[in-house]
Formats: sequence, C-alpha cells, structure tokens
Amino acid sequence: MPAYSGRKLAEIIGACTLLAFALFVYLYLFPNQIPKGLPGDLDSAQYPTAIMIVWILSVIAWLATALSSNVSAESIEGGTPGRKSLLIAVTVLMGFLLFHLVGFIIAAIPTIIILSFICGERGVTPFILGIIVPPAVYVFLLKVMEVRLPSVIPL
Amino acid sequence: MDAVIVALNNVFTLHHLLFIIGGVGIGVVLGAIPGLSATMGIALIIPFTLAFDPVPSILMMMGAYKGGIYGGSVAAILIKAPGTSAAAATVTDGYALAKQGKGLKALKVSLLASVAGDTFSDIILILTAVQLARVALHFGPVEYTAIAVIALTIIGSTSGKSLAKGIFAAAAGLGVALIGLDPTTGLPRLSFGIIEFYGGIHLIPMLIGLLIMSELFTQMEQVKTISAEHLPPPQTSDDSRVTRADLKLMGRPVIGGSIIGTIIGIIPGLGPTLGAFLGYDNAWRFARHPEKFGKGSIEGIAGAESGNNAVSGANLIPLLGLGIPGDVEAAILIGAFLIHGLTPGPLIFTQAPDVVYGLYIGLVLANIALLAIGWFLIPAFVRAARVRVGLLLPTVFILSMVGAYSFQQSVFDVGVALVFGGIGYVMAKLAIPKTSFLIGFILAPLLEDNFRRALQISDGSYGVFISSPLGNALWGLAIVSVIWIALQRRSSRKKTNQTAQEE
Repeated sequence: MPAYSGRKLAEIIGACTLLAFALFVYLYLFPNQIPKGLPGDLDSAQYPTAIMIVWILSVIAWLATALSSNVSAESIEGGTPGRKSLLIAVTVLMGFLLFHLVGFIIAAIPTIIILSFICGERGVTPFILGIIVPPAVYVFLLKVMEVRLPSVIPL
Repeated sequence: MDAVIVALNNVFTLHHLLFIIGGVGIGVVLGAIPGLSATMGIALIIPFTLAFDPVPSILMMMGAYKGGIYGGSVAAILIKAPGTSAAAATVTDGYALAKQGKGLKALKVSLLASVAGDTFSDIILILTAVQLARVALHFGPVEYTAIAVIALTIIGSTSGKSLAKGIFAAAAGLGVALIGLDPTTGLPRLSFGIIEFYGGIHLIPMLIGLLIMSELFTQMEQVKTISAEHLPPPQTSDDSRVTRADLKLMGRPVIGGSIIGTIIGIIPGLGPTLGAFLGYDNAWRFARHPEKFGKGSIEGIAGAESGNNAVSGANLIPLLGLGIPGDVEAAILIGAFLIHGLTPGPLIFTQAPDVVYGLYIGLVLANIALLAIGWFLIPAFVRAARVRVGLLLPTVFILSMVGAYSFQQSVFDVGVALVFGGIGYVMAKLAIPKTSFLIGFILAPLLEDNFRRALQISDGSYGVFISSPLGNALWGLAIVSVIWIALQRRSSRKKTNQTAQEE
C-alpha cells in the first residue's frame, strides 16, 4: 500500500466516509424514512433518489481525484486538528450541557474564561470578561428583545 | 409611486436610520478585526432583528455587509492582515503606502473606491432587478427547475478548488433539506421520530453553526497575537488626505472595478474576492503608473476595493429577480427575508413593493453612512484592527449560542447550531465549500417543488424538462457554463503546474 501524506490521507478517508454514509442513507434509511406517494401520485422517493445519485457520483469523482492527484502540497485550513482542537471541543460541549441543565449565565461564565485561556489570554481580563458579558447579554435580550434566556439564577 | 412614497416615509425615520448606521458600524468593526468577517456579522445580526420590521432589519444586514467588505481593508492596510478574504488584493499596495506614512490616505482611497463601487452596483440593481423579475414571471416549473440547477451547478463549480467537492456540497445541502415533511404527502421524511425535525432544519441555527461557530473553532485553533509593526507618521499634509491628483488616478480603476464587480455579483457563486482581484488586475492593465503596483499604488487599491464592494449590490439582482442567492451573504439575506415572512423572487415586487423600494432607498443611504462613518471614525477602526481576538472570539461564540437560542427560544436549536458548527469545521479542513452547501439547502424547496410539479404535469415523464424552448435555453446555459468552468480550471491547473516546474 502506498504511503500517503497527511492531507491526501484525510481526503481519501473523508471521501470514503461520505461514500459509505451516502450508501447507508440510500440503501437503509430511504426505504424506512421516505414516505410512499399518495395513490395515483408520483413516487415521493424520485427527488431524494436523484439527489443521492448526484451525491454518490460526486464523492466517487472526489475519491478518484484524491487517489490520482498530488494534493499533499495543499495546506489544511487552520492546521491539523490537535490538542487545542480537542480542548475547544470539550469546552464547547461542556458549555452546551451547562446551558441545557442550568441555563445561560452559569454556562457562559466558564465557557468564556476557558476559551479565552485556550486562545492564549492570561491575567485577570478573561475573568472580568467572563463575569461581565453573560449578565449584560442576558439583560440586553430581556429588556430590548423580550427574550428570556434560560437561567437558574433569578434576575 | 405610492409604494415609493410609503418607502420614503418608512426609511427616513430616526429608528430606521439608526439601524442603517448601526449595521454599517458593526460591519466595519467586524470586517476590520482579522478573524471575524462581514458574513459572520450579518449571520449574527439576523436572530437579533426578529423583533423588528423587515425593512430596518434587512437594511441593517445590508449595511453590515457593505461596511464589512470595506472594514476588511482597514486591517489589510494597517497590519497587513486582511480582515476579509475580499481585502487580500488590497494588502500589498495598502500596506506599502502605510509603511511610507500614508496609511490614512490609503484608507481614504479605499473608502472612496468602496462607496463608488457600492453605489454603481446599487444603481444597476435598481434598474435591472425588476426587469429580471418581469421575465421570471413567465417561468413555469420546468424553467424554475432549470434555473435552480444552473445556480447550483455554477456555484458548485466555482466555489472552492474542486469541482467534485463543490457539486457534492450542493447535493449535501439539498440532502439536508429533505429532513422534515414531504411537501406532497405531508408525511414526515427522514425525521427519525424526532418532533423538532418535523418542521425541517431551520435556516438560522444552521447558518449560525455553519458560518459563525465553525469559523470561530478554526480561528480559536490558530489564534495568535498580531504584532503591528510601527508605522511612520505622515511627512506632509498630503500624506493623510486624498489630493486632486489622487482622485484623477482613481477614476479609471474605479469605473473598471465597479463594472467588473457588478458583473461578478450578478453571476451566482463568484463573490467579492474574485471581484477584488479582477478589479486589481484591470487597474494594473490600464494603469498610468504600472511601476507602482506592489509598492503602494493608489490605482491598485481603488481597483480592488471598487471591485469587491460592487459585488454587494449586484448580488441582490438574482436574489430579488429570481429568488436565487448569488453567494453566502445573499443566502443569509434570504434567511432574513423568510423569517420576516417575505419570499424573495419576482412576486415580491407586487406583494411587498414598499419593502423593495425601502430596500433600494436604504442601500443608497447605507453608502452615505459608510462614507461618513468610514471618514470620521477611522481612528476607532484602527483600534478595532488591533483588538485582542483571544478575548473576542469566546464572546462572539457565546453571542452565537444566544442567537441560535433566541430564534425560537429552543435549546434544541443551539444543539443544531453546534452540530453544524462541527460539520462546517470538518468541511473547512477538507476544503469543501460551505457556500455550495448553504445555497443547495436554500434552493432545495424551489427545486423540489418545481421538479415534482413538472413531473406531475407530465404524468411522470422526464421529457417535460426538455419540452420548453426557454427551459432548453437554460439547460444549454447550464451545460455551457459547467464546461467553460471545467476548462478554466484545467487551464489554470496547467499554468500552476508549469510555474511549479519552472521554479
């Protein structure tokens, strides 16, 4: 098996994953999730099928291009995902869970502080920002747009 | 005429003028900050305008769009870091002028060229959109299917570096739009028994995830402090102002850039970045001082900036005339129209003429606001270009979560935005164009409705799609455009390979 560069490998894995997903959707999900047309009507699966065929053909073309051409020189936007990416993902998910469980303010404070630190900020500024911004946004939405964000803190 | 008077009365209120000025100001600041963009700005504004009327809301977004494209040049000129990709053509000459102590002059040239480009394309919009809409009123399901396919093939082929990825992204956007209720049977489709999916994936949380959150994730990964090199102060008073000689130099490139940008804006999928580079190239071809290009050319800045800003007004021509978005910003505006109960397309001229005329008047006012704000608040934007993005990105992330929530006051929508944030992040890593995906998603109802109606009319015969002369002409246009784009790509790849071999 030829040794592929990081970029080329990512392209091949990406194309293969999307091809497998498209086949799964087309062969398994469509029969279960697309309703039959009304009596005397056209088949409701015609249009979705046409889309999936375009999807599958374009991914095959992409895979063929990735296998045959030299894409190793192209750079990946923002670099290859690493430890920082994982930290961002964990923080964001934590923020969402807190938002769901205890509301906006308690979720936003640690999310802003941790993300600022991940972005390289140090000192007290991230803490000040984290404490000021969430209540300010909460009050702005409540007073100006009459949108009450979920919050366990009674404001 | 009544509609024009109503529109004039509507727009010339303090409330509406503040929306325009606010939109332009937000756009310039966001555009000036490297890492943020006009696109993010208008996507973020949408949910916060739900409580307001359609005209001021849409004008605020248009103001942000115009301001954002100009704002990109502030960072390009002062810190050699284009705030938006459309400002990349301005970097070399703008920064070279700044290093000669002529940073303020460069900013003013950029502003004047931007406003001129904007105004020209707005005039073309006002003159042509209604004519296009008149033609579109004769379209039936076959022609609309063809129009949607043309838009998707052109956008799929032009956005991004790979034709296959562009087409895939458009198909993926159409695929995601399948989730919801089947338009004919009214039965749930690909909804997996989740009630929130019965209404389909909503555009606003998807936009926020795909355009804002994914971009923030990428930016947070690579955030670095921008150390601005100390720029020398102006030597003479002429170094800070636009002289008569400068204005003479700007004339030709501005006219060329405005025309080129307008044409680029009308064609779906091309966008302001191409407008800027073609405007710059045109300025160089017809320059009085070609030797100054790359070393601080007024003509270069004028050509690039008029070229990228002229795209913004022209983008609205297919949007208002046909209901087809030309690029991401126009796609976001479609979302804004829809959430305010308006459907862009030929019928909007009869259904909501006051909105259309209000929009036209507001666009011209936004240009005046951009000129005034840009001219008098340059020092503030200079500060914005040097803001610590490490503090700003987390704040914008929180605002984007709030934006996704406030659309329907639903935590589920925040989850949808985060999922699309992840999808957008992966798309960026694999260089899959988000524009194609988004426009595929937006055009899906138009395509599906007309595709199925055409088949119903013909009792399921696909021959109906080649039964109309106008439809056939449109199919021919689609085929020609894809072949032309493929040939262009092939020749540019050859050129790149040749250059690489020579080096």
